[in-house]
Amino acid sequence: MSDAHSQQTALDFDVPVVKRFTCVSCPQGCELEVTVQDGQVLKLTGNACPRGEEYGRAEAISPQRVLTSLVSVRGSEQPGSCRTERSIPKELIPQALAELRALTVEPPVRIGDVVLADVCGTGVNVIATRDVE
Amino acid sequence: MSKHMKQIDIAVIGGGAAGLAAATATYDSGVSNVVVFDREEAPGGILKQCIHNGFGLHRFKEELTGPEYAAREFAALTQRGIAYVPEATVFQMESVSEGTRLSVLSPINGFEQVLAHAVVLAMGSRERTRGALRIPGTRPAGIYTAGAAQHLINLQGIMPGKEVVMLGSGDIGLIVARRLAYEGAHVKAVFNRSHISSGLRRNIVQCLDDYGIPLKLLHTVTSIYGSRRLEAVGVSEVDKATKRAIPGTEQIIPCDTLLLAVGLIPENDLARQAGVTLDPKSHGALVDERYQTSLPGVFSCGNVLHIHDLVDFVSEEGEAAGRAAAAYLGAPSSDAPAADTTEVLPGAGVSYVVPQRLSAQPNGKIPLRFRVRDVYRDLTICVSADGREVKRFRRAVAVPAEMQTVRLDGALLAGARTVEVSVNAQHEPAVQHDAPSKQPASCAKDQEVR
Amino acid sequence: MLDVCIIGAGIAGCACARELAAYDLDVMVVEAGYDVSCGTTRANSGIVHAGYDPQPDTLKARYNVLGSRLYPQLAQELGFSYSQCGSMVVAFSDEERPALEQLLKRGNANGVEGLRIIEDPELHQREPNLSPAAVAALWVPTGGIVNPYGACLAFAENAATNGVAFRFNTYVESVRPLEDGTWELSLCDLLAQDANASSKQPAGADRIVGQQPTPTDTVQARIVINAAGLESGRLNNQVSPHRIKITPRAGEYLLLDKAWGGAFTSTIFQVPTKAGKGVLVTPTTGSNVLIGPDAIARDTARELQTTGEGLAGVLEHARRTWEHIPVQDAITNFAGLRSSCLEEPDFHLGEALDAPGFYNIAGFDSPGLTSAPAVAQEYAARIADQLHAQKRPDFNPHRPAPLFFSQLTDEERARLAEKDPAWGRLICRCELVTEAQILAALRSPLPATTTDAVKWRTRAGMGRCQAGFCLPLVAELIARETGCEPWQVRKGWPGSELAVGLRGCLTDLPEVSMGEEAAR
Repeated sequence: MSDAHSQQTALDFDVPVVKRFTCVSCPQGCELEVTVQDGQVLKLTGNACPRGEEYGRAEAISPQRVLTSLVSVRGSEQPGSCRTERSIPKELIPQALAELRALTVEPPVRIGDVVLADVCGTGVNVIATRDVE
Repeated sequence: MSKHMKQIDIAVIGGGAAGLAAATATYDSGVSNVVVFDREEAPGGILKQCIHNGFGLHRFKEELTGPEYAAREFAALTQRGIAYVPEATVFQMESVSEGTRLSVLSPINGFEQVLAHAVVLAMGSRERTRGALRIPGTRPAGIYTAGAAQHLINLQGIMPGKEVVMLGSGDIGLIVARRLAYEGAHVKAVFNRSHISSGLRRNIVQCLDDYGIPLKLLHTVTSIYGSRRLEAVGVSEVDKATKRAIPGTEQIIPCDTLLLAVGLIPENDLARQAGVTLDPKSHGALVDERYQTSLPGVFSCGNVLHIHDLVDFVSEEGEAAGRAAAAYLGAPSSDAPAADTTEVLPGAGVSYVVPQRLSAQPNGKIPLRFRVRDVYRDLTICVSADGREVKRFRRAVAVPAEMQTVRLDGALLAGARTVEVSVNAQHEPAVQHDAPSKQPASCAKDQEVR
Repeated sequence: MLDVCIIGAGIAGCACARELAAYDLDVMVVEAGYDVSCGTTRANSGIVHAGYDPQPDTLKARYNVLGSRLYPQLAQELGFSYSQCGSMVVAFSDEERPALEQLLKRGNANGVEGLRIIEDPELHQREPNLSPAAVAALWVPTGGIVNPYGACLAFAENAATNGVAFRFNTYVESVRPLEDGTWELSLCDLLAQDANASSKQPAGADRIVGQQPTPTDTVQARIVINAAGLESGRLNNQVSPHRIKITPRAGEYLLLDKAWGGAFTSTIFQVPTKAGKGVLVTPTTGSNVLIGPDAIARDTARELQTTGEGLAGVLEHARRTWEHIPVQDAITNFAGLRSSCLEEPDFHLGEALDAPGFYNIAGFDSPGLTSAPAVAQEYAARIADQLHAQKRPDFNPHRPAPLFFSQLTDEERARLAEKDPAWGRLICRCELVTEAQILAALRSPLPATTTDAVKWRTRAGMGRCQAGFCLPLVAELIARETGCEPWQVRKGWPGSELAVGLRGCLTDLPEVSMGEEAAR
């Protein structure tokens, strides 16, 4: 579990809070209401199926996203495109973007090359998604 | 000129997802003399600029970005040694007795005329523009379609704007809104004329909600201000019943950029000019279950046939069209447009169906693809032949943003005069889909926006 | 010291420049816009009027008929698009018939040839899409259509090739007489000024009217031609006690997709009624259909906007002519401004009162486009006489017509593309414009430097996708030719750059929303 994640739960301590999400598991778009306390889900309503419950729990405790963005390639007008190999905590996206902005990678870049290892200490690599000469 | 005319078995027009899949499928069906004409410099079509993830879950069983998906599709092409001509625009097409004559222009081969025994149309779509919406006002710099903005930022590394307003919430628009936010722009709001967004739920959540970008349904841009660079737009509320802007509700929102994500239109100018019959509902060619158009030996697939929301289905359709084109070479049949074939019609709640016709003997499982007109829950999709129900499909939900597919045995439909696809359900009260929980946030944003 | 300084590179100024270029004179055109035809000439109906409309014995009547007769030959010499497609003024009820008779009489008095009243079956045979309500029309065989930008550019390029100098992005702040009878013009370089200005300061059209620009230099000329369109009153009033008040009057238009290019073969006017002059429906030289204009007085010369009401009004009026206008196939809408003098509604031509050597072409609203060549020929002869200038033996009256891929034969296409790969590279798919055509515009005697200039010259971006696909490509070509970055390429006016900068120019990071929280 990452540092950022522990911070998030620390902020939630004691007081039960209600978070609302629109489930994206299917087009039905259930409006979920999740009550969270001390990093634990106390109550989850609004879901029409078990996938909704799974989604709601993840979104309430530790929402994860795959980040896709651009990275500068030395000597190339065309930026390289990249993504995290796996999803990372959503709240780390700004920090991950900042790390990517500070970066200029050396050409040639090939699909799958690691352009940034262990982004924000998550253990997840950012890899190139297109070739740049 | 005809004596010098190059002859090929199959010409694929377009090097995007549909064209690449079609070409590979023709080859795998035993036709090797296939040429892909791509008007762009590099293969992949729109996928090249779609650097976000979400592609390939069906086709590759993993989640890829657009460029990765395109690279895999193109690798399949090159492995087979299929000819690919970049920067090659087919600008004229004519049906002749031996096949189809194409006029092609490219820097490599100059102007050439090619006789193709079969043609697969895979030219994709274009975006609806400000002119088509008749948004009045001045004509400053800073008004772009979402796709053009995506090209600028993702392929050229150019920031189109800083203070951004978006009209329309099509998927490209939602993706571009997040992209611009990632690059430091302020996306002030996304306005949507209809009470239903044309974007996928997942994109609304992960591109707008995640970054606090308000989506305001039933709002539209009613004026443009600024003479050199855009300075502001006027946004008015829209009456849900009349779909018109409500006079007196216009608020002025300062911004330097207006992006339009208000729909895609299949790019069928070449087909129309060649005499291909188009479906006014889908804006694509009228095809049978083999994706053959009204011109024998001319097939159509992907976004040029009808607008898709998932590239995986584009590839699937491209493959089917490619296989059919290859089969046509083996046994050219011209029964497609004949009057005694089956007509497939959109019924209640359905805006269009592809294919629009079935041949006399439809074989195997036939996918019927269509879009619904509104949001429906607990619905039944009914397929009937000559007024008699042949099959029904249950769905928990169907939304206009998502293309629907039902597959059924061709034998069930063979010989019918008409087949109808309709939706049976209660209308979803639209207010539930207006994302009510977002309302307070949106109002708060309004204050800032002004 | 210039012999002649022409203010304004619209149709009037450019036509004068081209005619004066035939003489041994030192001529310069000064233009506030970034290109020729940036003002009233650009967003214009593009009609070469036959001349039945102006009241007899007015300057409008005289120059309209003369100008109309010059266009066919000029189009040949200068290679611009013009078509004598004919026009008709349509009556939609028997009550409107007397108006047709009146126009016929007036046209005959003005010397317009071939006029006659037509009825069915000829009426709807000529124009099957004309509303069934149409009962009769004045048929005007000498009516024509022209690409106003194309004509203006042709005059200007031919003038430039023959030695006339052009200064764009240059605003004339003032004109004053010197003691020796010559004129001094105070000029402001708008591009230089924009480069110095902060990004918030309005430039271009805003600056011209809004904030007074600071003069950067002066030029001196023996003769001044005031062809400044909307600014012509302001300049006249600096030198003459006979004041001219120019009222900008906007006209809003809709342009329909080429798919409808054949809907009408001639220009269709409506009989003027108490409700107004009506709007026209016309084919264009670019094979679109143009619908408009209305006539709305605007307060300032910068008000080039269309309005919802205006466009709705245009459509409503136009439906009298064409019941089922395919509005869904509109590709763009735009507004133009007429430089009208409402108090004295005729053209204001000749030397201004008490200002010898200061020639006006003011109040030059419709039929100004048609009349410009005739005015220019008279002015050139008169000014040459005044300055004792001789005809130049080396004057070349011809300007080769630009090549359009879409209009070439297959043999020509093959020949050009074999010779030059730029002819094989299609940049604009909607209008079939090749890289070679765009490069030609960028390397013309008056080089295009903006995406709008490229659009108007080559039609790249003028089609149904409205530059969605070709804009990035055109910008790359302009950047390559002019040595700037693609994002710095301007749409038109200073300050209309394509983008705000390269990726990385903005430093803010997005804020992540973690879902709404509410304590219970």
